[in-house]
Amino acid sequence: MKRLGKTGNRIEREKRKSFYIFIALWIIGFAVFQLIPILWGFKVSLTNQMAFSVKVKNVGFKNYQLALKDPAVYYAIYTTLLYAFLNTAIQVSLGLLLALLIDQKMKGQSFFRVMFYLPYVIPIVATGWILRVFFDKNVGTLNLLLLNLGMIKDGISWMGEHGMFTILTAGFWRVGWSMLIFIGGLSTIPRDLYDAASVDGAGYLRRFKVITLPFLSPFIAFQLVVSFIYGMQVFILPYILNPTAIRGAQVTLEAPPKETFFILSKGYDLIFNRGRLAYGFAVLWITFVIVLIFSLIYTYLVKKATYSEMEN
Amino acid sequence: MSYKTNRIIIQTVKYIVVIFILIMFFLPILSMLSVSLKTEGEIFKQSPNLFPEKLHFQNYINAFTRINYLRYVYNSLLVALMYTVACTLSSGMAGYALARFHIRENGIFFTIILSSIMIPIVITLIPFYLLVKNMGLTDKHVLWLLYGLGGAPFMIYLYRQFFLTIPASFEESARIDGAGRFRIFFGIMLPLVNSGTVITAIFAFQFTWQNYIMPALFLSSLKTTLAVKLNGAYVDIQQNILLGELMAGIFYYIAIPVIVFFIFQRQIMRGMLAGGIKG
Repeated sequence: MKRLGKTGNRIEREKRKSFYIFIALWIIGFAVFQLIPILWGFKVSLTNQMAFSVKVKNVGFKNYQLALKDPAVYYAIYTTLLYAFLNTAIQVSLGLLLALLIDQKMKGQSFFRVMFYLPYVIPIVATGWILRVFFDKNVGTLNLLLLNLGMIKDGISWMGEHGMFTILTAGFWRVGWSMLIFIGGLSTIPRDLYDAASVDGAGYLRRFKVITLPFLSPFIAFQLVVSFIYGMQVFILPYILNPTAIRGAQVTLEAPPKETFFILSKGYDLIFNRGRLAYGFAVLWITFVIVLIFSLIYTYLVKKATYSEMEN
Repeated sequence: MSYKTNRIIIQTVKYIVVIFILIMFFLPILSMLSVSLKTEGEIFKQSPNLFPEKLHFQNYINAFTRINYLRYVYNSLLVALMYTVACTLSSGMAGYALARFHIRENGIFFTIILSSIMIPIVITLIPFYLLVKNMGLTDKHVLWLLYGLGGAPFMIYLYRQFFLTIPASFEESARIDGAGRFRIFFGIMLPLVNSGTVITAIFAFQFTWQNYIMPALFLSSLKTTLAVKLNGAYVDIQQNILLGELMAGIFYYIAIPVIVFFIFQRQIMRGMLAGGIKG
């Protein structure tokens, strides 16, 4: 490491000053909105605080021990991971498929691009409601359609029996973003590479393997990582798509069914619906650590896989 | 089979697949429109029809009057604009710092910013809410302005990519002329990445427009945004949801970001495809 006195020439000092002036807002925002709250949450998680408790005392890691013994917490972690993996698979495979189908040669390419991107523009709360009405057992359009076509005899309880499937449908619907990234990736491939390969007699699959895939692999890696990280953070969708009777009184932030009761909702539920502040924060902290660890391992694996693929 | 007929067959199959997927994509939207045009009796009758018997536009009027819809449009627009302006400014500045000033810590900051997308917003927001509740800052729209000033990792990244495409010589001559750093940034650099600003602003707008947890925690019933209000707004006296009106209300709610998207559609597509995102 160089000593500060040595690097401290005027230009370098000026540069450093500019850097910190321009990034200052982010630093303050990060500290105030992320670092301090999360550390404060950790502090609370070490106590026995409830929403209305008067006497608060430290209990050490007791809440963590409690949470790590709770099978519901494990189940929530399991469903969250499952959702993140399945959603990532949908985003990457369908996004790639659409990007390949709608290539530059296709007539009406820009029309299709805009149309497939459109559902991504629809806000997530609206997506939840639209799909809930679409999937409803008695009044839902999907069941009516299948009944009219004679494909089923009785309405299927999509949300009751296939909760995970309905949540994944939203991911399927919002694939436009992923498609756009892959279209961007495809546009980086020089056209004459394909022509040269065709002259050499390479078929479609061969061209895909030797040209398309290597060029796309950084984009695929990016999409694998980002979809997974965001998939782990799913929160509001299950609340709105939850399968309680569609005609009953509507309190949206009730707990969703077990199958889609993801880990973040679990922490939220503990704090706001049950008033178990300290325990809820412990669960949130465990979630934080798990999201971080899985995201890091996963990012590392994806990077390793794509780089070794490039070497071959 | 000749090469040409072969190609025609492939093209036809391609179109069929694409159009099939497109129809699947639009089924939920058709379902929304169909339900919004039915009467409540039609929706819940014994074996409902797929399409409304007669177009029933009353739901679109009721959706507007049952709640003071314009008030919530105003609330939503207000917080969305506050967040968008603040977040775009802050992200632009941070992205500029990362792209232009290569000091030793630059890489560390870049890594931290990118890694911060791994922190779920719920985990920071709940403690933050409980903290500011004690300071009496809840129920204020201005919170979005403050929150936006922290910037957003994805937008900082986008801005960095855009600033990297601009040669350093552009600002060096200005610096020699003695222009200050803010003059250079706002006067020269920011106008050069206009397409980046458009994209960032639209993403920030969409993010706030659809964000649920922040208004749910921070704003009371009269000050909240559409994302929260819509969920319990359309009910009859017995607290049953009025699906037709709800779908009509959702239609208006969707319309605004969709219109924004269509206005800036070219810029979004061009900017995203021009390599704004790189692996």
